[in-house]
Amino acid sequence: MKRAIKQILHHFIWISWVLFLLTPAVSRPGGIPSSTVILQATVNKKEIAPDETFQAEVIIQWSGQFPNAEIVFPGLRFNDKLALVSTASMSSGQEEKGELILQRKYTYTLQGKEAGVGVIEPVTVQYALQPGQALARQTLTSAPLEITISRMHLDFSEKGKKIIGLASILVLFLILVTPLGIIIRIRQKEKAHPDSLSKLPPSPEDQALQSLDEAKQYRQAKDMREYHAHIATTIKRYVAQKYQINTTGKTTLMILEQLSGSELAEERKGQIDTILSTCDRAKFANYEPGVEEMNRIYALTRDFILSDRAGRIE
Amino acid sequence: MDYDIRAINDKVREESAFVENVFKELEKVIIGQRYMLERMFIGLLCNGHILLEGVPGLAKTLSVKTLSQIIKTRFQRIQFTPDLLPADLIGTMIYNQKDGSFVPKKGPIFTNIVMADEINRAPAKVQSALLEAMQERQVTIGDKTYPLENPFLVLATQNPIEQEGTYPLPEAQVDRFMLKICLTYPSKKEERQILDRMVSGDEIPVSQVVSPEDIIRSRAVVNEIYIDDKIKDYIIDIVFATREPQKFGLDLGGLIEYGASPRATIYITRAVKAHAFLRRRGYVTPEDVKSIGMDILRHRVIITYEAEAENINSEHIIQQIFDKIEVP
Repeated sequence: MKRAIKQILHHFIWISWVLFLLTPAVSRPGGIPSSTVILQATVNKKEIAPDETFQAEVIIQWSGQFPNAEIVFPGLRFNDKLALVSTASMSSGQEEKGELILQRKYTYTLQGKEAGVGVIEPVTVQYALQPGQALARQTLTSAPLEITISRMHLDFSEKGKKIIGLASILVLFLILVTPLGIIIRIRQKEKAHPDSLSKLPPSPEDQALQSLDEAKQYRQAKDMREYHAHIATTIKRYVAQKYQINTTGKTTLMILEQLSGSELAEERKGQIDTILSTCDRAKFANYEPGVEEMNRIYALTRDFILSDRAGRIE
Repeated sequence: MDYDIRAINDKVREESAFVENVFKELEKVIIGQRYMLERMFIGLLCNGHILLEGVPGLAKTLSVKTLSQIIKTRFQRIQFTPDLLPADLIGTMIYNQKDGSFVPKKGPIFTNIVMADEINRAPAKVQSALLEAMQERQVTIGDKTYPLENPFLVLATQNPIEQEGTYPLPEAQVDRFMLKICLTYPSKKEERQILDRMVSGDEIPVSQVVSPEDIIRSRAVVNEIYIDDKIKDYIIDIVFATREPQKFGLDLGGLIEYGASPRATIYITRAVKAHAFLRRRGYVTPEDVKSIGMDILRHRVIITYEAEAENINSEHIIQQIFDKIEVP
């Protein structure tokens, strides 16, 4: 029994020694030289716009009693959605509790080339505790990094956020203040010119049609002379405005003479002649046309104006 | 006052039927000058006198003579000269040796149509005698007053180019003339017609198509022609614009010395009615005012020296007024 226990203990010690020899240095504690190697790969932005730049950092840190450790970092590899703008590296070291901590930092400035997903492949670092221990090299690998490149991306960096914030306040301010300013301006204009309208002046056709409607009041009042006088004034003003002729000091004959030189169709000149002549008779000859004739003159005047408007819209 | 326009229109159409015949006859002799012929007839219808201004040779005398033949009225032409006396015009008292009494000898003014040729060549006293007769339509010879013929129309002529040795009519006396007509040369086509018709020198016979009674009756019809309040206001506006142009938005400051008198308002109103009569209408339109207004106003709007210096005459001013005042 004792012999059996001795044999088990002997095998345990032997196996433990073998295991100790096979265990990597990083995990070896105590008086045997030990080391810790850390690999970090990070990016400062996860989402960028095309042509926007970002930074990728690879930090390799090792500590322990291996100042001559051999670190092999083949560099950063990424897909064709990204382009390298610049690269920089920096080494530093410090002693902490009698232990030397060394660090090497690689900074890559990258740029998004086109919309898509930019992929930084897993960063691989090989290291050996002593130079030349090629066979004993260990490998550390980071996780892959992905950066979304989007056209709709907005830069929400701190600076960007500030700018956007200020811009938003400004836009909000303008949205609130602009209508207020417009209202104040319109009121000022209306005070200065009480008759002026804030909208565009109506077209000659609209003005004439409105004036024609006003003639109805004279008809209701059975004032036939004023009714025809109003229709005549309406058509004269309309013709003056529309065909750029002066009708102020002109009689019916003079207006027709002026229009004879215009491009107005003969039929339409005839319409003007009929309207003005009938109105002249009603105005100056005490002539009272019948209801039918009054309706005809009104309709003729309205048709004349409306046909012009139809032509304008076409 | 109620107007039956239809009745007036019918009456005018009936009474003015001779008008076209008159002009047809006149145009047998006178080529062109329709403007002058119409105004002469308007003067006759309105019982107003006419001052004709134009260079010699524009058929002034021939027109008056032909008109008198067509109406079958008596016609007298008086050539005004510097040595003319009032008695040569109106007449005088002649001593009769047989009975030793003074008998009146009536002058050439006792006729229906008087042609006072070159009125501005006679001295002021003769002009005054004529103008007084024109106004009063009667003449006093000795101690007796004789009424003048009816119709009685004076057509006085003035030559605008020869002013040497003339006695220009004072403004107050020019105002007595209802119309002042400025005659112009005929067109090329008219001139050719004149050549063809007049070169033989033979007198062209005309028919009498209207009697003096017809004229007197027509005058009554002319008076009945309807003139709307709007037209009356238009006439008033025009006359007032000659006096106070600035009130009508006319920039004529400093160009008008004196505007038209109320006589102008009366004459325009009469003349537009006669013009409507010639157009065979029983009512007046703004066309009538525009047509005849200038002839009534041109000698009544007195311009300033400043206007004369700027070569602006009364016609320019009146035209501006007509262009500015809104037609009703």
